[in-house]
Amino acid sequence: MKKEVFKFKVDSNIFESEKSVISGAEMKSIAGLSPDITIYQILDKKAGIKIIQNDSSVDLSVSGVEKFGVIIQNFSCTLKLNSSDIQWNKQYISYDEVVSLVYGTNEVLKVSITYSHGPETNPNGNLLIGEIILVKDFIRITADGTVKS
Amino acid sequence: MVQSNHNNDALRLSAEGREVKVVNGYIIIQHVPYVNTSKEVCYGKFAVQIQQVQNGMIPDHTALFSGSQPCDHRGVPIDMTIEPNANVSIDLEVFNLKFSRKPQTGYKSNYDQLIMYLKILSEQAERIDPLATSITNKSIEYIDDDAFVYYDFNACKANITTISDKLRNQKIGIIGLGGTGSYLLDFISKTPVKEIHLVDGDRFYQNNAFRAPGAASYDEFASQNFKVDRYAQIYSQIHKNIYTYPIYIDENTIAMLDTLDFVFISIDNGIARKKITQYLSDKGLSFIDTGMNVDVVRNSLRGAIRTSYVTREQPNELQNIPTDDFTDNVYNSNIQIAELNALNAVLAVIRWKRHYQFYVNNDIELQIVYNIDYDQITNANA
Repeated sequence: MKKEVFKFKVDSNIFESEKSVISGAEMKSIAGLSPDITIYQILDKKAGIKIIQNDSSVDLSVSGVEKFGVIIQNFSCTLKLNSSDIQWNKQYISYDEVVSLVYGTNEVLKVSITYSHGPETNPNGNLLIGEIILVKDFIRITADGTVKS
Repeated sequence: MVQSNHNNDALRLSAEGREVKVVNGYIIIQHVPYVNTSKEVCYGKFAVQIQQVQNGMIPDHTALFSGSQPCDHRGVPIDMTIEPNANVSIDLEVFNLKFSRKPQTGYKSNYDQLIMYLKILSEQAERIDPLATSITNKSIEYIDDDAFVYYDFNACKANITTISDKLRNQKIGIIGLGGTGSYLLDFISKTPVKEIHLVDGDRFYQNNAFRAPGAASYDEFASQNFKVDRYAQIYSQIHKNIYTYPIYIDENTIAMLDTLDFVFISIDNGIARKKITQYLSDKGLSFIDTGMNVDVVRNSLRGAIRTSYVTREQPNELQNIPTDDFTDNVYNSNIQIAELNALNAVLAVIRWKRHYQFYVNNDIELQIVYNIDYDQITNANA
């Protein structure tokens, strides 16, 4: 009987794992990537990404868990944040990082964040608490404490 | 002519001894004698849409009928059925046939229309049973349960009363009657919801006039009425059942929300918003929270409008509803503009109507955000 293998894609390359649940480090090893490289999982419904740490556990048997990418190092872009230009040096940005940029605090504030003109992985949508999106030059991001009536 | 909520045509039919109901924009007559194909006398029901007379006649001359195909006294079908499977549901009754019989001069009123249709059917029944009549003089059932002070000809004319009925039996709460809340009331008062409960402990001041629907008179400001009273007075001109609570929701009063079917929250206070939204979610009550932020960039205004939707089945958006007051932040401003308040209310009311399938509800948007910067709406879906 043929042994079941679990396929996954990192950028455009397809790999196989004999185990359904593997760590981030194992995934990088299979894909021939250095442990220092950061990889991410592309979430369903164009809802952004999830950073996979070396010790993160990934269940490849779960439907939708199959597409991954490599974070580009030395990345730089301009964010259109609340209609002002901001230089940003990472290929991704989290909800907390947007809050920190706009409100100058590391507190967890509940605000309404939207984005558009994003990369194919997450072209547009609402960035919710705990979520991360990939960015590209001139991605439009708005963050507002929508509490007035 | 002032149109009262008592339909004169229905009252006249009722006064003549017929069993009449006014329901959902229709006049229904029960106990209508007719002859079936077996030449037996049976009893059915007529329903006609209440209509506004235009150019001396009512525009829709058709009538709905609940019963089998009416015949003449010989059992020959009367040729006036234009829809044999109309199947229109009104007040839990299915009206399966639609008739069309129009005199050259049309009908001058719903009364004339119904008398004509009654005559066509009952004349044949009387030839078999002389005692067959629609006049029973017993327990006349004149019922008018409409929420409106005058009839919703808009829904009747568009023939969407059965769709509007999906909103009919609801008790709606609006917490906060600032800019957004007042527009919420403006829209909701034009729906047939059973009751509208207004909650706000604030009074109506001059600054409020510039974020309120319609135009306030200068004299109003001197009286400094509670917002709930001011708005109830205005909107009770169209909706019968508006209840007022000139209070702020707190631990002692929050239980008043328990009996509501759907709640709209349009308040500025983060602590109160947190308590109210958590309470409603714990109780499994459906609600929409609204809010906006506007600030200045390069001498223009930018910002966003948010509509958050939480139900027993979809409680997840609760965690994303802003409950901070942003009091010490440069981005904290109290800039609000009437059209943004109105748009916030529009998005909230459309989301509510989608909840009840008034509008098609293909996606479940939990968070709807309109951003001014790019004139764009983005959703976070379930």
